Amino acid sequence: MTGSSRPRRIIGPIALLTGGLLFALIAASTFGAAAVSWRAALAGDPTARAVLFDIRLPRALLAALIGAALAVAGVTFQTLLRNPLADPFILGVSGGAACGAAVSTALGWARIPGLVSVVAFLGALAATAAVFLLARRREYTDPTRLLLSGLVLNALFSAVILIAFALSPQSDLAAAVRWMMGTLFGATWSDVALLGVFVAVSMAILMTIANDVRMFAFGVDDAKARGVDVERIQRIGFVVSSIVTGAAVAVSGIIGFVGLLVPHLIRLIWRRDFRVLLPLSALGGATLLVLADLASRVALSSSELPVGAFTAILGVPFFLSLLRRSR
Amino acid sequence: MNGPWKFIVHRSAFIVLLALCCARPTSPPHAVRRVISLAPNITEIIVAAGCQAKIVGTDNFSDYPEAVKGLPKVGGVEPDVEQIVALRPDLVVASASGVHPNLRRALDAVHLPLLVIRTDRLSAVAPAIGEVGQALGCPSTSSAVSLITIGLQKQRRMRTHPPRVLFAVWTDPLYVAGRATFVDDLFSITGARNAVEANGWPQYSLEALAAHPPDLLLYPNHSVTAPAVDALLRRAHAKVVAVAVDENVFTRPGPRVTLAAAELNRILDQWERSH
Repeated sequence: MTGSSRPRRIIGPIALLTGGLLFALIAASTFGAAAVSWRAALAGDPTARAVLFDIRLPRALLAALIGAALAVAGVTFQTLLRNPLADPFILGVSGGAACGAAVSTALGWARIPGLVSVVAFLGALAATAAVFLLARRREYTDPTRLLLSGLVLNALFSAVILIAFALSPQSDLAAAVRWMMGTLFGATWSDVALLGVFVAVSMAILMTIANDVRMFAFGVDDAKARGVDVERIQRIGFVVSSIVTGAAVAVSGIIGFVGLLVPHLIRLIWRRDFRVLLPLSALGGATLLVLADLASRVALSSSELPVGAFTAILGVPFFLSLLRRSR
Repeated sequence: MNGPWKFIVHRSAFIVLLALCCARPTSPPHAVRRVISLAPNITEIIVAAGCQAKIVGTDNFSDYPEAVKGLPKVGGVEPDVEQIVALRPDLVVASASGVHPNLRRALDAVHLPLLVIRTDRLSAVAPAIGEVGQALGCPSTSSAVSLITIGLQKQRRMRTHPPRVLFAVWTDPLYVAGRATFVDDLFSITGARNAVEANGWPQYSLEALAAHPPDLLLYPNHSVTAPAVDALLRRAHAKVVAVAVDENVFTRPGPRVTLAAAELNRILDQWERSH
């Protein structure tokens, strides 16, 4: 693929997915438990304004950002590790976050607003650092060791979470379960702004190294032979993806499926070039999570269902039909 | 009798004999002297029936009345069977809503009878006191039952404009008491209307709270804090009177249900006066 032909080739998919995301955002801000209209909100009706501008819209945008964050991290991990099963959670990032959330709940911190989020974010970062130190072998980070370290640390985190749950005050368990199930309940504009910065900066950094990351598809040795500083690119890619995942998990708890399967969906429809995969995965992840959150909100009249269930319900049939069609 | 038939008859007789020998009474024995309660509301029920002296151990959460705090504790969701055995009870009483699925098997293995009591709804409380009191042979059983029945009858109200009440058990995400729950029953008898349509303990939508704010929001005073409720109502732009209620009284279907109903009536009356 030459530099001049690239823009034209990705304009179509990007326009299509951007359209899809816009459609999803309009749908997500139009439908909900409360029957309010955009017209009423624009005319100044306080209830409609509160529902649309302060509850629904930030929630829809936050869903888009979290979906984008998880998908971007997923596609980066999968490409760098050359492993189709790698996702933001396999390296222990989510386990670390959930562990932080569970332990702080057991300590009774769930009653202090925001504190569990901060501890969850720190847990995610600590887990990433630990996985890297364990996988480090001289100057080189071995992908297999990295995956195994993530796997083993996840097992340890599960153990700590189970103990923390057993010791948590029964009345606080809802806070701990919130992390395990994942929810976008109570999304605020400040969440949107904060995560927006994380996603924008991460995307920008990953786009600048995208050409080098692309070379990993040919194997590490090949990438080295083509002049890629494998060590540096790996480090940047992993750290950026882990931070953006940690930020997403700190806001919403663990939402599965997006990071693992959205990159595969994109690969099945379009192409495998990381420079194209990255923005398309971001848009695809954002669209999927906005639609899944909408479904979780409107499936029952005034109660909500776990959003993680709907990412799978919406994504799996689509994925399987694509898989069947692609030989 | 030929060979195979003889074998079958002998084998059947042996199995019947074995079954008779090994059959254990699972109903409580006649004179219960030592009892272990596995739920706070069961502890309160036993005390109300007049059998406090028979309690030799409780679950970790039983804290009322004050005197039971000092009793040996046998665990929470998964009670410690070894500790239960060590306390040599004649009977173990558990609540149907909190009993571990394997507990009966574990207690059967050590020949300990288990009495499981249903207390998930308001209407089940008086019968539960009767059942526990009878099983333990408690002196004040019938008076405790009538105290509850009459007490609840006294708290029954009809209100011309039933206030819509939301009971928030957690604020982020918002979990509420829905229909067909003990809290919903308390609303029914005191003439309030549950703001929630769904059954059970669902996660409630923030925009439903914003678009149709309840007249009153009640929250348990231990697990939910006033700042958390303020933050929730601010998020929903909802101007709602929020009142903290005694968590243990409002979430334990036991003898203190009359107190819960009286407190709820006091809150509802006060709200009516100011509106």
